[in-house]
Amino acid sequence: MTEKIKVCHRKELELDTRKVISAKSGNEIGVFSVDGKYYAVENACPHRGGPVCNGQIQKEIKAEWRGPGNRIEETISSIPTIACPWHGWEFKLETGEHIGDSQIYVKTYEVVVEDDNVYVIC
Amino acid sequence: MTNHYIVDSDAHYLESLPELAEYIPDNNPFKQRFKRSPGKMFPSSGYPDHYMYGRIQRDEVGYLKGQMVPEDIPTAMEIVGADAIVVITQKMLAFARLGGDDERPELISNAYADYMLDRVVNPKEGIYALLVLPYQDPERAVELIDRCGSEKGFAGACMICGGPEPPFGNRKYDGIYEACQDAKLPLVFHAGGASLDYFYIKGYEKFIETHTLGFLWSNMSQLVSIVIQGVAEKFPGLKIVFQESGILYVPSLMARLDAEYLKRASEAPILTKRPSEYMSKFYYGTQPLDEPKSAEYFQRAIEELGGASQLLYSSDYPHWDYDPPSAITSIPFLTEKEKELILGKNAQKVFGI
Repeated sequence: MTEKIKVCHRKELELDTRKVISAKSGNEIGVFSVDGKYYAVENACPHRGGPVCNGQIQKEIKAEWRGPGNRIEETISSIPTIACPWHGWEFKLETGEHIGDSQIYVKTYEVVVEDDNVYVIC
Repeated sequence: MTNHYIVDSDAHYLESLPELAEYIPDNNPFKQRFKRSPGKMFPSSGYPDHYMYGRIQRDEVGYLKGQMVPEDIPTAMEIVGADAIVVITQKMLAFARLGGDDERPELISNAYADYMLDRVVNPKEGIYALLVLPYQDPERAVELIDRCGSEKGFAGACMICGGPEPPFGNRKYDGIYEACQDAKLPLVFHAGGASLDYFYIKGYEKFIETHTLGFLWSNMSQLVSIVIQGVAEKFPGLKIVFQESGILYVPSLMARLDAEYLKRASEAPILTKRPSEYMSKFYYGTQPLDEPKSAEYFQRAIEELGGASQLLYSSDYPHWDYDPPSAITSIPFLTEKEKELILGKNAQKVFGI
């Protein structure tokens, strides 16, 4: 049984802000606006249950190597991530995957905007 | 005795420094120095008595008398029961004591290569050596690989783990890894003795303490660097072997590195999988084989590090803590097939012998 929860008016979730809401199940869900896109993830880190949605949002760091003898160049990609503030486990907001092991993930939810209101489908 | 074909993947040959000097260019002053003062190749150390003042004996070969001769190797093979043997240097285990001196390593490595080819290796008789690389000068190390890497008598190349700075994950060693990969030379990282006397916490009172810790520190420090700096990612065709620290440190380090990686993955973006997944593709020499009380724990740990397919029997003969093949054949949970792999087949595959 899916639940459609109203998060807030679109203007309340401005660029680079977040809201944490509670579903009927009692689960907390973080809703984020990053670069004009909305994301929603469960506020429970699969590591130790930390409040991952309180963590820092940044972009995933990628590596590029141009061959033997060259330094591994680290660059900031366009992929938004969130890091659990307890131990740094970092997840892609789009898919919920841990950046170091795609077998580990935080649950993600669909976000829709209707009549200028933001909803989470959970 | 076992009927298995046995490859001893790590035994030692104590080379004579005056004999090595014959292979050093005539106009180099180290030729005279090594001839006149063979005990001064490396800075002096308060080396302990590994053989516990006569309690452990190796009279059958010349090791404790200060020099082995090529004829000692068949004797060693007979004692160990090995059909083939891969010997490496004794003296160069202490490479780290040379500090910033990158001349002696190059000289000794080249002289050692020529001496071993001339006097010691004999593939027809199953006698192989490792090409010890002067990692202090990576360009010279690559030259040595180019010069000698295709010799059948060299089953692989070797880097000594005792204290290289920076550690082996650094890009300055990339050329060595590329050359080994291109030459299809497996690269053996061998624990060094140098860190025993100069262990980073000074003041230990007994050799049992520093010997326990030194070898672990030696290999673990390089494993961490190699894995996290992505050597296996950058050189996927490179066969990596770690020798002489036992094997139980491997699953322990895997778990530790995985835990760190999941917390700090953004610091190692070159990696595409967990550190343990790279490590489970490396090979590990078995000596000095750990002796845990619980067989169940031992079995689980071997599975965790990648299984019997990743283990290479090694004796370390004639060192004081050598393991005969019975160290493997007596492991209760191994199947005959697994014993066969560990005792010889894995080494035949890795070293192409």
